[in-house]
Amino acid sequence: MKNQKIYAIFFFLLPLCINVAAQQPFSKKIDIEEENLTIKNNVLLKDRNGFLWVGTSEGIFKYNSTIPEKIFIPGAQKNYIAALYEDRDGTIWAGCKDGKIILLKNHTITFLNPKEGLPKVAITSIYEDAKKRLWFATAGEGIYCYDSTRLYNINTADGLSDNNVNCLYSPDGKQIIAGTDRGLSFITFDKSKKNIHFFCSKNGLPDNIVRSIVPARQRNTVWIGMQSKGILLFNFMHEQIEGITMAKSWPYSQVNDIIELKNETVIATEEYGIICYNKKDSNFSDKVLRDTVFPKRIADLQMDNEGNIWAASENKLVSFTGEYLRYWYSGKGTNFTKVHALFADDEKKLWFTPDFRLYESSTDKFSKEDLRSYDLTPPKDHVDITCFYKDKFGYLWVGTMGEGLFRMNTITGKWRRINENPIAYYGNILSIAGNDNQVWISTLNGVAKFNLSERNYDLAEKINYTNYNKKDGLGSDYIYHILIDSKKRVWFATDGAGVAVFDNNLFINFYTGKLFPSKVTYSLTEDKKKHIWISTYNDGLFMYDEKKFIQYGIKNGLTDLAITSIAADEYNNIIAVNKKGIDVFNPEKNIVQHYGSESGFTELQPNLNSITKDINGDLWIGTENGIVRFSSQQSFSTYTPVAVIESVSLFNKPIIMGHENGFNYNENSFSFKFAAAYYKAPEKVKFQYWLEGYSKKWETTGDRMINFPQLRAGKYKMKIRASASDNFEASPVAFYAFTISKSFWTTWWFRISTLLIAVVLIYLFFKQRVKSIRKKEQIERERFQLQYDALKNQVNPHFLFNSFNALMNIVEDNPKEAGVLIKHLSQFYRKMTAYSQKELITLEEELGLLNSYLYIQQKRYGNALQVAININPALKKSTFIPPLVLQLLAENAVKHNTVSKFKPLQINIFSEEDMIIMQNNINIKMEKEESEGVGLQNIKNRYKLLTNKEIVLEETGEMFVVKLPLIHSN
Amino acid sequence: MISWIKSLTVALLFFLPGIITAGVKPTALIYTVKKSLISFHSNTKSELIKASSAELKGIIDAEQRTFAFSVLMKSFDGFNSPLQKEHFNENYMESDKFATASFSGHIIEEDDFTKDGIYNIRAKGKFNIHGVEQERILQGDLLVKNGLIKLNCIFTVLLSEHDIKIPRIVHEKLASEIKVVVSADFIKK
Repeated sequence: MKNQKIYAIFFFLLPLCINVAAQQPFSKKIDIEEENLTIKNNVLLKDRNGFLWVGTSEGIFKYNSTIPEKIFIPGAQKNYIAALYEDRDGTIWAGCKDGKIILLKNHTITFLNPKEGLPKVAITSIYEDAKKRLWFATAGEGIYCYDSTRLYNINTADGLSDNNVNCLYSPDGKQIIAGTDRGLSFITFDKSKKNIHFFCSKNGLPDNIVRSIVPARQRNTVWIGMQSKGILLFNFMHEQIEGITMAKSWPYSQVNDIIELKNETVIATEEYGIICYNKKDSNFSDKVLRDTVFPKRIADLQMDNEGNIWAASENKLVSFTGEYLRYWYSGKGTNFTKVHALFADDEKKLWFTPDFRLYESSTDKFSKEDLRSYDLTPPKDHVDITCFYKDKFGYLWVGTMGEGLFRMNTITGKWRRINENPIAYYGNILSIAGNDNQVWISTLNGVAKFNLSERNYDLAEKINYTNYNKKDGLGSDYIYHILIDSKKRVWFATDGAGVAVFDNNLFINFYTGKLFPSKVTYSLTEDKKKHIWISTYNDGLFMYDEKKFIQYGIKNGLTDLAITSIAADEYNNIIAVNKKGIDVFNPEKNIVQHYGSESGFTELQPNLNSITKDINGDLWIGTENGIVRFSSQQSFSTYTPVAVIESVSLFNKPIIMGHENGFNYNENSFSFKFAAAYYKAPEKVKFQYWLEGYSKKWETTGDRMINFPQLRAGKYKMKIRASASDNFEASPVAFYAFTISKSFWTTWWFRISTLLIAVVLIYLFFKQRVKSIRKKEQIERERFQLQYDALKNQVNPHFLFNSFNALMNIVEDNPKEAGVLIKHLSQFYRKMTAYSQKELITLEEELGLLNSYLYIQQKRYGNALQVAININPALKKSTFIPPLVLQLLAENAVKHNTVSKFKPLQINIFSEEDMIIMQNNINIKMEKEESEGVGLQNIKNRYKLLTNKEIVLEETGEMFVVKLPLIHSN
Repeated sequence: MISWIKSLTVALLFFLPGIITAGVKPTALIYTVKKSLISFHSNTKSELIKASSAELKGIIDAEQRTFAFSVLMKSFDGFNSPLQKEHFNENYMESDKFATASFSGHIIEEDDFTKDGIYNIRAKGKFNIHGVEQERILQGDLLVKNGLIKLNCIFTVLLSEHDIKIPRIVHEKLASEIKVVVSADFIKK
């Protein structure tokens, strides 16, 4: 009571007019093309992959979160883009200011060229209906509808409200709603039947000039943006205005685009930049986003897949963190510093403590206009408030550093310092928690449990309490945080003894090395699955599922292991605050979404357990330099960059990524360009690629392009995945499968047939070789036979006797002639010896030999042997004959026939065409001379082997004829 | 009193011409066909069917940018053979039943056709052949000079769109698309 007197009544409620910094999302600017300052960004499109496309006065740019890239459009003319649209097939349609229509599909760009001609005025909007017809709004020619063969026109003559059409939208794909300069037109068009009616100022539309129609969250409604009368919610089923008309006073100029968020509707204006409509308090705020960052004219808006809002303006793209992250910074003359405690109560009141003061504001319209200050102590002697709690009577408990514990009636402003419990009175209160009758406080000297009774409805009444410390089994007296879970167990985050739980009047301490290795714990929360989460000083997060503690750290994607505050959101994500920012951890998907410096968390320095969740599910975080509001939305919080293969190039030329991806053996140098939309922090995105068929594992790269030159034939699958947290396991995989066919000389059939041919050729070669060797051998043999026969003949004693007899007969009568005979005899023997070594001799040589022989025989037989030789002299030197052939034949003739004066032997030798013919009359000897019968056969064989020609033998009974083919070459 | 009457007279004198002109409708700038040639041929290299007519009738309202044209089917001549003409009128076009082809509507371009010049225009209107009406946009060139208008226009007609049935055997020879060339001179009415 004394204390109360000392401080007197220092609580006073006073509506405050301190100059606090305005609420701001974090924003950034992207220059579309720095060199070109005259560029005008007119329209934004988000494609199916989440990439942004910008239609500008200088053409089309694609912004895949790295650098805006200009799309090359063939043609000399500049394309001033006024409308962009992506149809269901993924074709991007661009409408130009001069009426041209450009189609972008699969890296090919074409201009629409209908037979009906193109509009001569600007295309202002494009929309695809359920029948896959494209609708084009124009500035002056009404609407065109293109069914891929014909272009149809719908204008005032058909009943359209005006030919200046600004926007198109269709809720169901059947009825098109057009915003014109003279109200809304509702159009159905089927088989040349047009059905149009309109809704304009006559029907209550505050402004006839409709600039934009966008989908709204409320059923059967759209948002309508007008030229001078702001926005309104329009029910297209009943064709009536549902909400907000600013008919009388709309100060914010023409509305160019609208995006409805969970709590707000964001409006792009012609002269006032971006303004927000707060759906909770139905207020417009132009201060929120009107910053130096934002130019006055905003032409178009888009929301990316992360919840950021993008605005097209002049030569820039500007973005801000939508409504998922909002900041109340400390700045000049503002004092949102040192927010050590935050508490959102069940009455939509946010209690917070900037700079050792106590403020309260509404969570719905948290702003400087809605701020109330409470003084707990004399203003000169501010206390450091560390924690809040609201008990079952609605009284606010306020814990301080060094100044004890207060209980306060927030309606009357009356308060009482809890002085009945010494550890509360003198202590440093770090945390307060409770349920029903229990209120637990933690201090640096253990914990205290207060038991509220009905008497305590009276603020002045003292409260029963029990104190606990080390002596009672609590591991540490230093308790940072208390949590009462759904099972009514009381959990304590301790400094020195890990985590402790009070259950059935017993303390259990979890700091036993293996089970729970962390000595210092900071913050506690319970998720929807009733798991207890514990944050630690330097070991990341632990989750207790009633069986064991599971640890989560860097490998799960957490950015920092020292986590000062945690809270569970509505979607079972754990929001972990560290000095780098916020980690939103989804344990199911094992994904961490980090909001760090890129999202505006620079030098914020979050404070220990300065976090609270309001009844909307939004989280409020107190930091040294401001307040953060984080609206967790499942689609945004669990968004991770998704890899997309932007282009595949073959020898640096982009190819169309169709279904048939077969290539020839020499089409083998590929490069892949990939990207992943992650506008929050594009530089954090890393990729992993794996070319199946080429390598065996994932490779990590920070590049957005990879080359594979000189790939071998085979089946390939290029797989790419992206991550912003080094945790790739949960990332979806983009892939491109292709095959490179083998060159024909490496195919199995070619190899086998080549082998077969080679085998056959080798076989034939050897066969031929064997054959020729055999032939050679035979020739050799035949020659030996000849030599043998000839030698035998030479030494044939009859021939010698006969020759010598003949010689004897004439040696006396005619010694001179005998000399000649001897000469011939010696010549005959010499030549025979010499020629029998050769394969072939000239005809002349053979005839010489024959001459000698016949001369010898004629000397013996005289007129009984008549020889006539008539050979074409030209043949003598140019043709060849196996040696001794003619001689042998002549010898045979002499041998086998009677040579007598009555029956003379006539031998004729003459040439005829290519033949030498030798014929003799037949006078068979009665008594056969000894004969081997090999002579003629030998001749036959030799001819066959040498010439492949056969000799001809003819026997007519009277005549024996031998025809020998002549040989022309060696 | 006198001064009052005086001022009324002055006022009347000032406003009378205005009142009169406002009350009387300005004479429309209407042009009619003086000379015309409309020809068609099958849109193939071999020109399997062709004919022409010089009996195009039509008007253009240069101020209202509206127009109406029609031509008698039986006025077409110059077919490849008399038999073809017979087939054309009796089998394909059923000229006794559907005597004329017509096109009427308005010009999309908001140019001032009362002024001399060359205009590339798109005419949107109802195109009727063989009793089947289709909405079409046709492109053409208008030359306006000294109260004369010259029109040149080329377009195609899809037989299937107008329910023009052709026997299967002939169908293979005949293109399903017919090219039409129109040139016409107009004079002020």
